[in-house]
Amino acid sequence: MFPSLPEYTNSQSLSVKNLSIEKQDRWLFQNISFEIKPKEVLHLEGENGSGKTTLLRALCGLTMPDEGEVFWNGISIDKQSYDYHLQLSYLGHSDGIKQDLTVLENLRVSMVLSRSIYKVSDKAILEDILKGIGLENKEDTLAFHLSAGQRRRLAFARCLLNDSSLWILDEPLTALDTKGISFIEYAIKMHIERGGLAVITSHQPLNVKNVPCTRLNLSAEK
Amino acid sequence: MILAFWTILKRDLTLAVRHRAELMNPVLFFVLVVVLFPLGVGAEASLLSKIAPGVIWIAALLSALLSLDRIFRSDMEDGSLEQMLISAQPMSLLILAKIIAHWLITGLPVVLVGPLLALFLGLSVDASGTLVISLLVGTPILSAIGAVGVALTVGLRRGGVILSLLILPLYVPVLIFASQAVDAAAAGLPAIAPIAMLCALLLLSLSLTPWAASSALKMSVS
Repeated sequence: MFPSLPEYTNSQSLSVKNLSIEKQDRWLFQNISFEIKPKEVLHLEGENGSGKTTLLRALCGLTMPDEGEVFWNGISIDKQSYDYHLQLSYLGHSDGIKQDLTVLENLRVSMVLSRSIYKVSDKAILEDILKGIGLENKEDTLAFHLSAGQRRRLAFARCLLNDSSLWILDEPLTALDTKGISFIEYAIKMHIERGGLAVITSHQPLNVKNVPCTRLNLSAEK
Repeated sequence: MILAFWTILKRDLTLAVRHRAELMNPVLFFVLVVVLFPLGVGAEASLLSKIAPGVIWIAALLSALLSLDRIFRSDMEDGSLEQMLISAQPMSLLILAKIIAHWLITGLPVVLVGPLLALFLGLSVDASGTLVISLLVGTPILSAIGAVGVALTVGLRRGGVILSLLILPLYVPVLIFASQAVDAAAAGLPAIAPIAMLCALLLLSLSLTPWAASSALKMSVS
């Protein structure tokens, strides 16, 4: 897995200025500002319900913030949604996996949607990725028959399919076994070393050595 | 871009084929509603042939309404929709693929069964031919307009009632022109004018609704 891949060419800084989001007539969070540069990880912390997922969705452009803006390379993401989405891989709360499609069919749809750098017909790469996420010989299994952890791995595979320099991961380690966790930690480490950025929420400690990791606690920001 | 269109079309058709029960539901509903009419109003041949166009079209309308929710609902629930929204492909194109897939799954069977039911209700062969044309041009409009309605209501937990209220008024022009065309054909008059109107509606809805649905979906997921 991971033949020495070249550095990302389009890695830029992600910054957020005075972001505030309101939900059901109360501020979920107010005036959040931060900036992360290539080769940095931002670890979002906070209690359940403190707005971590909402903040991540706002970073993706899925939730409109009530105040403030998200910038990629200094330009608002609303003004460059195509270029931004090309650089973005998002692993959300829900896996985004079709239970009635096979593992391979799910991967292929993801590849096309993300304009993957790999060809859909490139069997070797697909096998490589499946092996990496521990789903070798499961190409033709319906996602319905996978376990929760295996589905999570398949969802994570999206991050490996395209050359996106920004990973936004919402609880990537849920339902994973120790082998799965160490694989994802390794993948994040490689991603950062190639010049990528990552914004991660996780209740489990994330063990990525030698990676500059900023922490932001949403509960403390209130 | 074309690849993305085909991929989503194929994906939705594959999913439909793997859910055979759901696949049969709309067309079965269509047949049952039409078959119930002679039982309700009596088997008088002249009356049946007079109401046949209206009956068949209303049944087609209701069966479309019944199956609309699936255009986006399941994708919303498993997170696939989020992935489409943040993908590097134009959302309106993906939605157009989904509309066409929905029509192939629910509209096309109605077009195929329609003439059999028309003959069963005593409609003349000429009028049945016009009915097929009106169904062929009209049912894709139902899928296209319906997609906007579903996109607006998919974020609500109980969107079913609102969906009907929202969509049925917009279906009225289709119903009027379609039954006008069949009535004209049954009376031995040229039906080209209402059919041409239907064609215009089809082009208008196919070109505008993907954009409308895409904006509506962005609001629904946020």
